[in-house]
Amino acid sequence: MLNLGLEGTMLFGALAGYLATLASGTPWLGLGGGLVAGAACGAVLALLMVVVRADQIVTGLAFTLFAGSATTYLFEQSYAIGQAPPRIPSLSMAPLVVIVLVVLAAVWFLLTRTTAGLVLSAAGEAPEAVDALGYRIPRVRSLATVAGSALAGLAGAMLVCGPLGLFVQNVTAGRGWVALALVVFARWRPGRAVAGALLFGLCDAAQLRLQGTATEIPYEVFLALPYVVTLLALMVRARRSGTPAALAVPFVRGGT
Amino acid sequence: MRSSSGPRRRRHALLAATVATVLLVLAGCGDAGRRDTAPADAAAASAGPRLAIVYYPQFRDGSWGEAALTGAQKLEDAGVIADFAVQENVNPGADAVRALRSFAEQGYNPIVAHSFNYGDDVKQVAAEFPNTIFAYAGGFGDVAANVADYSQPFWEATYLEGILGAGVTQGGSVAGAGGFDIPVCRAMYNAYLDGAKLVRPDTTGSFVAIGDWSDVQRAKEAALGQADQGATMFVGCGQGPTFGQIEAATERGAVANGYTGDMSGLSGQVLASFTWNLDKVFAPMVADVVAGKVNPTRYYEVGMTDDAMDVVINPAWRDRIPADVMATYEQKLADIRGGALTVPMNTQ
Repeated sequence: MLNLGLEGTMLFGALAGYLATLASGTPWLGLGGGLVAGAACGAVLALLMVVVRADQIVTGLAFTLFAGSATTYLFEQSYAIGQAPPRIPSLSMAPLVVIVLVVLAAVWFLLTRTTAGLVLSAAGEAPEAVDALGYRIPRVRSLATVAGSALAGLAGAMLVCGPLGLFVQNVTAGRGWVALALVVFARWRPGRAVAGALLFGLCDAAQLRLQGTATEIPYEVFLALPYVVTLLALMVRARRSGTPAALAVPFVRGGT
Repeated sequence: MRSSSGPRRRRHALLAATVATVLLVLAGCGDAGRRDTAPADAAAASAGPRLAIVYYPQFRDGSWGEAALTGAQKLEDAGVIADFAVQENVNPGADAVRALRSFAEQGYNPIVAHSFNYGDDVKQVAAEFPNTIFAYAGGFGDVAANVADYSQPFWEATYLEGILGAGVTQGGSVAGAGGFDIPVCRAMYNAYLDGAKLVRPDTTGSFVAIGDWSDVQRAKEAALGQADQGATMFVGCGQGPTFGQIEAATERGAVANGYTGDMSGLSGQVLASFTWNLDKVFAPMVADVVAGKVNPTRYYEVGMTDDAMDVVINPAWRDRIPADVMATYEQKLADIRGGALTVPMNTQ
């Protein structure tokens, strides 16, 4: 499964997190809202990509474009013109870090220490073999899409319900795409993905601070820094990509 | 197996088509900005010109987009234009060309493309409709035939905000930020610094390009970095950078400033904002259409002398600004309004 709807799912999660926090006054419920919205996005994506077997690249891109418009429209319903959109109570960094560590541990354990994780990995590598063992590939892939999307929705909600505390149009600003690149960068390993995210975030935070100090260097160099580092890391580790063999290939029983 | 998979596949195709249709319909709802009314009857057509505005993010952003919307509304309420239409979520390129052409075909004139990024699209469509003014927010006098440009002299306002900023802070530097390091953003930052130096001559500052006009989280991160280096006054260029600065200022007890809209409602740390009264910018365009001065058109250089901008001090701060600082501010405001003082566009 290649889920290019990740950015859109994060946007929906961010909006759900914002609206749920606004309605309940509790940012924790906002995170729950993001999780649920993400799972709902995952269900739609799984329906299109797994059940209907629509082209995964086109579906994901279309979903992300749709999310950009839909979240803007829904967000505009929460305030009137000439009036500032309401602010929401927000969480500090510490609980967010705990959530990341808990999710990382859970995903790592699921993928590497359980049969379900093995089946999931195999469903991306050799779906025929998994099918022959009696597992239903569409079910495995659908569940994986829903679960992954729920986490993406949670990520969007964490952005909004975290220290930021507000929603704006396109608040995720491409973070979903960075996440997709990080998965490739991390060769589909959760621990490495988090490490890669930290590296990327570190470079980004550093470049924003360096810009203010070294004025003789063109600022574009600093803006490119996180991406240059990511590319370099990819080149260094390019020997073995770890890309699942059946990535973005719909499964048809008895098909080729 | 084969015989049963046939109808099943058809059912799946039908399901896919249905879902796709629903998605398309919902996506259409996102385009809610379109406010096309029924084709004007003869009476309405003679009532005055009709203004159209094209924009690519959302209009209701409390800033740049909303300024255009409220400006057009003011002209309609005043009876200067018969009617106006707006369309948002129009990406520069093929989408914009289509939207601009469609408005021109419907008889809208002038047509405003409310972003710097529409330059090429406007020039392309303008050649097809020589009797329609196509104005875009170039901001540097990029005028040719019926392609007009309108200025954004925001540095006039940030100069005044800088006086207030240095007046209410005990020390510390100026933190500027923009989506990118473009001339208008630089000039806004430099003017703010100049204003601050009127009160505290030794004031220094730094400017950061965020790399995105909407990434609030990244802008906040940049602003926190500047605060760590001693910044106490924030001046932002673009909604994302400004919203991020306001968040950071709120966290650190620094002062921030609103951008092209009154942002006092966002935080108690917003000291002042400037509004962009685009009715003052659109009005001369409309007047030129009425007078037939469409081709060649001109650079609509409209600033504080024409009331195209106002500095709005957050009511929560009004009593906390020292009297001498307020006097300097009032004096400079009067000088700029009266034309005695021209704030230079310093892009260095």
